[in-house]
Amino acid sequence: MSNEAFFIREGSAFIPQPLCRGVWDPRSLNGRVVVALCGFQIEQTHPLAGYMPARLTVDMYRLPGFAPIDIVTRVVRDGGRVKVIDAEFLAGGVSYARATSQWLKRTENAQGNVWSPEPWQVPAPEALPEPPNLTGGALSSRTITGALGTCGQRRVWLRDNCELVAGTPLTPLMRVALIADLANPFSNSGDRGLAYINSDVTVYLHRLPVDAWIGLEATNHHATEGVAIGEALLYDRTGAIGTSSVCGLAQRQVARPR
Amino acid sequence: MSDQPFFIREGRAFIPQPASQGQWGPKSLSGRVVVALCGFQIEQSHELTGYVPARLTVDMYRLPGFAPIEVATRVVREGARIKVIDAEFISGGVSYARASSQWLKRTANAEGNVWSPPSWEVPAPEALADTPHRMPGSLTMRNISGAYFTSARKRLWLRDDGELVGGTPLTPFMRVAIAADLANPYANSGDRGLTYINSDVTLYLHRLPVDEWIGFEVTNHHATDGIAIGEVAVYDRAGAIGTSSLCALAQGGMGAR
Repeated sequence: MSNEAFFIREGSAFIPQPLCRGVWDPRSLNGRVVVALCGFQIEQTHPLAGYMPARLTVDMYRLPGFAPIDIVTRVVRDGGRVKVIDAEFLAGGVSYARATSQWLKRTENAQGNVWSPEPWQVPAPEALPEPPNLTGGALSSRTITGALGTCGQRRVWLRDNCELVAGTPLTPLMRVALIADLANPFSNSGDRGLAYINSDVTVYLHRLPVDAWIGLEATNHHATEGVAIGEALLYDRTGAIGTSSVCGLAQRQVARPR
Repeated sequence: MSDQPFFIREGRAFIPQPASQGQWGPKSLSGRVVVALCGFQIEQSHELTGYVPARLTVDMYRLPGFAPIEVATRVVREGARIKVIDAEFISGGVSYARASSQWLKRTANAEGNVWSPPSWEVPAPEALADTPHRMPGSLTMRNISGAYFTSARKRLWLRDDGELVGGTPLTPFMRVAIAADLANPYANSGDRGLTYINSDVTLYLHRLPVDEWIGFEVTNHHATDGIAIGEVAVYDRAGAIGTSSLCALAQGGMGAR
């Protein structure tokens, strides 16, 4: 496993490393790291012990390149039960993305029974074959059902092996944030590959993952007049942890399946 | 069933009407109208012809009352393919909620086949009877399956015949926006009623509804340490149009809506 990281820090700036390369253009960053770096700066900058990151939404309205990045955070609401914190992703003084997040106070569940979906019955990552690794070891995957490049419902285990920012071990939130953008290729691609580029990501979580493996199950995709929405349920090995949803635009160019 | 509006306009302010009353207290507004009024002001204040409101997210961090409201919008990104527009819900100089939205340019779908969930096979609203409810205003509900106050999975049709803002007919986007917050009582309630108060709503749409009827099917609910997430798939009579998701906090004892 490499010791590479997605970013190294220089003062207040984050310098993108080769691992950050995206699928739409080799000179642009992956949506994965845009989402995760926004979440990273929010989590690292504010005292949030006792609060659960229940939602992280990132609007991605420009495709960033490899120039140094600054993330500026802003507290929208600092309440006893609800904290709302934004982050802006800037390079060269230009805004490329903007995150909003909700952090909710942990207490205890309400009484009573509420309908929930059936538990996820899938093999553990250790029980599945290791595929040829196409990402230099940065991302491990174990396909459960449905291959990229085909039209079928996909289920997969994913695990990131590199630090987002060199010198800072991945937190549970960072593990989810790095995976969240992959809801787009997993839900919005088909037998011709990925032809929709997502312009946002919304992650909902009721709890954090217990270890490094994150499960994705594509549960939704629809498109009309070139506007697509897609969604994946998120799991860890003990059950459901949340969802990742995206909207996106039809692209003339088709991205290489990841 | 009167068609009373949720708000009337006085100059730049919106004055909440009795139909806007929420379920968490008689002096506070329903999340439904917070979400919809933010969406209303974005849709009415900006040139968005040819764009689909693909996402509307509303952070609701204070419970607003019946004082006059102003909604200020701000363009975050004015791109040719992507427009990002925010709105802030302000009353008496205090911010109660903040919306963010993405509007995506309509073009043509990409080629190829992508997996989608099975189509929704339910009776049309006309084939179902009205379901009694205690919501103020002019909301009609037709339950398909899963009664309120049970832990069954819920499906229903909804329509609202009241104007959001008096004098402005509901747009297709407003019909969905006024329904979106009801994902919380349907996804996050069970055999003890609704015990989670939502602090946000996120509506995703790939297209707008074809008529007044909006269909909901609960697709998700989980809760840990008092933090719940819930979701419904959103339909019209022609098929799936989107999803409404939210996060929520455990709240001591709320009853029926």
